[in-house]
Amino acid sequence: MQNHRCLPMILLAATMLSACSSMSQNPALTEAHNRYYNARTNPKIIDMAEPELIAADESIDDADHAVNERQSNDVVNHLAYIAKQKAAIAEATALWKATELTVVDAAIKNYLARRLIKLSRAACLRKRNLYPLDIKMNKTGYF
Amino acid sequence: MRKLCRLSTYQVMAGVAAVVLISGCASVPAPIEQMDIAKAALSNANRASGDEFAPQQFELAKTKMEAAKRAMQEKNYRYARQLAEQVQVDAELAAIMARSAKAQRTAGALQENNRELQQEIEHDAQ
Repeated sequence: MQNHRCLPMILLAATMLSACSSMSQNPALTEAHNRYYNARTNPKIIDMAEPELIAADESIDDADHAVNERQSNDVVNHLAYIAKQKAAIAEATALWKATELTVVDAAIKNYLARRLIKLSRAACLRKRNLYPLDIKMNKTGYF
Repeated sequence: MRKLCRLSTYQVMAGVAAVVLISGCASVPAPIEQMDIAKAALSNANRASGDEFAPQQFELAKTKMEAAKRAMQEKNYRYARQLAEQVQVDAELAAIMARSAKAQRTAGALQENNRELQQEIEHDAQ
């Protein structure tokens, strides 16, 4: 009776082991898993490319499912390729969005710097109009 | 029944092969929609200047698109579908990489300009 109770656990462990061993046998799927894992553990990618990461996750599941269903190597390789590229899309999207934020930040600084220059030059001009003699004297070397 | 018995083994085998082929073709429909999606993704990557900013990914997608078209002509629909799905992800990656590279170029130009403006501000203050 005790053996019967353990049977489901043994079967589960065997299934998991066989799934893991079959997954590791396919280099394309291993590569896809690694790429996806790197993306999934990167906080910037989680923050900036969540929908893309979910899409990659679904593709990884499809590829794993194909392995578990013992589909042909051709099908598994194809699904693994799609999953790997989707993980790459998540990485690239996060980088793109971060760069866009840098562009916005630099554009704001650019605007403020131009504004500051314009204002300070206008102030300088006003000062010259108020004290034209001083400027003339400065230019002609009186001081 | 007699007629059936009179058929040679080769004729029966040819019949079976024909049935298998026909049923095989019927189970894999032409991936017309996926081909359209792939074409749209490639066109989007082209508009994003993928050929200039992500040439490797873009070329890969273009080459696969040609292969997918050939597979469609040869009625190899299973292979055509696989290729079209790969074109979609390759082209999407090329488009995003291109947009990212363009944004990096813009950011670099703005930051350089900001350094020059900062020098102007310092010069004006003196």
